[in-house]
Amino acid sequence: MRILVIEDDADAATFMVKGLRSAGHAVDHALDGEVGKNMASSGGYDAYVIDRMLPHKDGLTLLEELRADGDETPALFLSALGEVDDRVAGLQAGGDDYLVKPYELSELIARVEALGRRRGPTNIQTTFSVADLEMDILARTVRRGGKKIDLQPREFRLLEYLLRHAGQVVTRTMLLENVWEYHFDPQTNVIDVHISRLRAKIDKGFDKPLLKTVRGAGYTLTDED
Amino acid sequence: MAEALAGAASRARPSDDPILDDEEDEKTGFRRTPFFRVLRTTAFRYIIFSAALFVLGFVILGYVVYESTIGRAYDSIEAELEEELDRLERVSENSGAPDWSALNAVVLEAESNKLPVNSTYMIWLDDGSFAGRYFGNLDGIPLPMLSADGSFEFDWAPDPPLFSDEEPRQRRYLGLSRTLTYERGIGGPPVQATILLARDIDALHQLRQTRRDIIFRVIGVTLFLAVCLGAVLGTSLVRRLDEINRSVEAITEGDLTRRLPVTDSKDEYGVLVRNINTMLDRIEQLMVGMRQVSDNIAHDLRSPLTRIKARLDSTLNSLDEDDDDERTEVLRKTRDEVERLLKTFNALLSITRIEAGTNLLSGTVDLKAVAEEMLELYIPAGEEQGVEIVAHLEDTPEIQGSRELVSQAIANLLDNALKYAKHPPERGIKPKIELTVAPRPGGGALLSVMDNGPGVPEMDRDRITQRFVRLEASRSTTGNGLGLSLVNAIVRRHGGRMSVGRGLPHDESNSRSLTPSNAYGLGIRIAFPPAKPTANNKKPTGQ
Repeated sequence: MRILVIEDDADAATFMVKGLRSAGHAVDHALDGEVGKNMASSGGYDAYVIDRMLPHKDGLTLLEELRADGDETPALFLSALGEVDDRVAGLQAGGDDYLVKPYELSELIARVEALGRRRGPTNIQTTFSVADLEMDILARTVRRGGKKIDLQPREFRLLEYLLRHAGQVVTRTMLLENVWEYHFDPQTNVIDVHISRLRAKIDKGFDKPLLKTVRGAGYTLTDED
Repeated sequence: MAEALAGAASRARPSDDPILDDEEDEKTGFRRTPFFRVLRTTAFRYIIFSAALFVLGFVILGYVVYESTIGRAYDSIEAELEEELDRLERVSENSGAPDWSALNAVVLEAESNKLPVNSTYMIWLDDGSFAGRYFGNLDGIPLPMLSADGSFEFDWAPDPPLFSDEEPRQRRYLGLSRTLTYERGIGGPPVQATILLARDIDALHQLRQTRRDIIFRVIGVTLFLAVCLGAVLGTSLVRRLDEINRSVEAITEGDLTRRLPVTDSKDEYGVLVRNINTMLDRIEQLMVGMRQVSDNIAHDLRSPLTRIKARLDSTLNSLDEDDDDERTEVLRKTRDEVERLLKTFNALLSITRIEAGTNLLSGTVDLKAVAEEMLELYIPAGEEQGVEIVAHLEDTPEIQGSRELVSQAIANLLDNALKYAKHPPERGIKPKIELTVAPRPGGGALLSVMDNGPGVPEMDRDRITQRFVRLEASRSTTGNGLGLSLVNAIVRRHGGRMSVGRGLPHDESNSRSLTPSNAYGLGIRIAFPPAKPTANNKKPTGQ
């Protein structure tokens, strides 16, 4: 993916750019809002990472202007402001995701990669599959190797989210935000327990595990090793 | 920090600050002349102003009354005089040739007692010679007549009745004059005769004087009373405000424990003083909280930071030694520690934000639905850890607030209960958590999370909602000690109240018996007030 990072904190930006590059992405970096706007306008990016507070032009205004120009490139806001209202403001300005500082690099990478997939035909897709695991959204059925698997509604949504992001790393926070719609950080490993239950249903008794734990980051649903 | 405080204190002293200096001068000026201060009070000014209005009203009323009584009497006397003069003029015309005989007739008429008793008359003839001739009972022309245009008043002392011992007394008369012109039969310049008629108005005059005296006296008394009342009220105002000012000055100088003197009175000052005291309580509470937080930050943030630094230092010192494993271990530990610090920091920030929040929480929350969702999220984790989570959820009226915050509060309570509802296996107590949601009698909703863990001694119960407080027994466990204070902040933000008390009994079969409180777990009970009635207040829909 080609990513534009607009962040005024040089140290944080260097760290972020390095991390994204090591994850295999092409990254450009702008230090303030004006420069960022110009670079974004030249086009060709798959995703923006925008700090909310920038010199010369703040992140919200910047993205609003880009959206007004018809730029639909997915964007992720980075901010130290993490209240519900701040998130809402970010999403209203045209942001697709909102990550509160301080963040984990793995979290950022996972979210940026998820952004790249968000747009496109997957949104209206109603069947998903990874290896021999298949899901039909309309019929609300899940099969593996042709065998029907019964899932609780929440487990179904969890698996749906994992399937929509198959091959990508999804973090616990992403799951909590998207499957449960909460924006806080539970101290108990609640997500892990739900994942292990889901894993017991879809992987147990099959040769090849599909739902894998990515150490220090989260989970991924893939048939690659 | 200490320097900043010292700076603030010295700034409060007048000598450094020109603006305060002025005020201080004015103040000391006040103190030397207390009466001057009273004059400047609003109470005094209001009273004087209303007294002035009252006086003005009185003067207007007096004028109206005068016009309709005494004034009218004057008018009618004037009209009588006019009529009288008309009659005399007619007599002189009727008597034929307008000459001496006509004048005589007039004099005769005047002297023949056809005029009222209390009247007087004078006729002054001007025949062109310098010596005029006078008839009548006046000794001469009253001076006011010369300048009067129409009726005029004058004083004259009539002769007392014959054979009486009365001294002649000046009386007040209302006079009216008219000048008639007579042709002399023998030619020569005409004779001017000026007729003056006057009526005794002494009684009326006395009445008028009295009325004026009364008005002046009433105005005087009114103003005097107003000044007295104003002074009394102003003085008490100044005294009470002085008390308040002295206390406020002392508090401003840093004595936050001081309070304004409370009086029993239920008047506006009593209310003001009580309100200010409540505000001061709150400020002091916040200050104490701040101090506690900075103390706790010093402990809970500084010690891990010190540890990190020490660890990094020792790694730097041993860089030349080739021990990758150990270095990796140090880095990993440091990373974990920093991560914990960040979490603590985030939690602190959230608490501060929630506590500082001023905007109203506009949404409504179905407590039962949120609790169901949180249960769904936590029950598996409980099972994993061998903790049974049971729930008693009833429908409640919706509460005003944020679903996000309320669910976070429940999550924190469940996190906390999961962490502490554990016992050494040999005691044979099955860990259990009970989540209850019920309508609150009188509106609102009740929520409680109880566990059968080791519980909290009664003396520590108030403390555990404070920031960073982890009881000694749990110092070794993970967690930043902010969970319950975050819950407390959320509950307070929703206008609710949280209490820490007894949880579930350790021995369920024995729950009725009176056992010491440490045989119970911890129970957190929360009461949420009802949502404010709004147009779109729906019934709880459940899920």
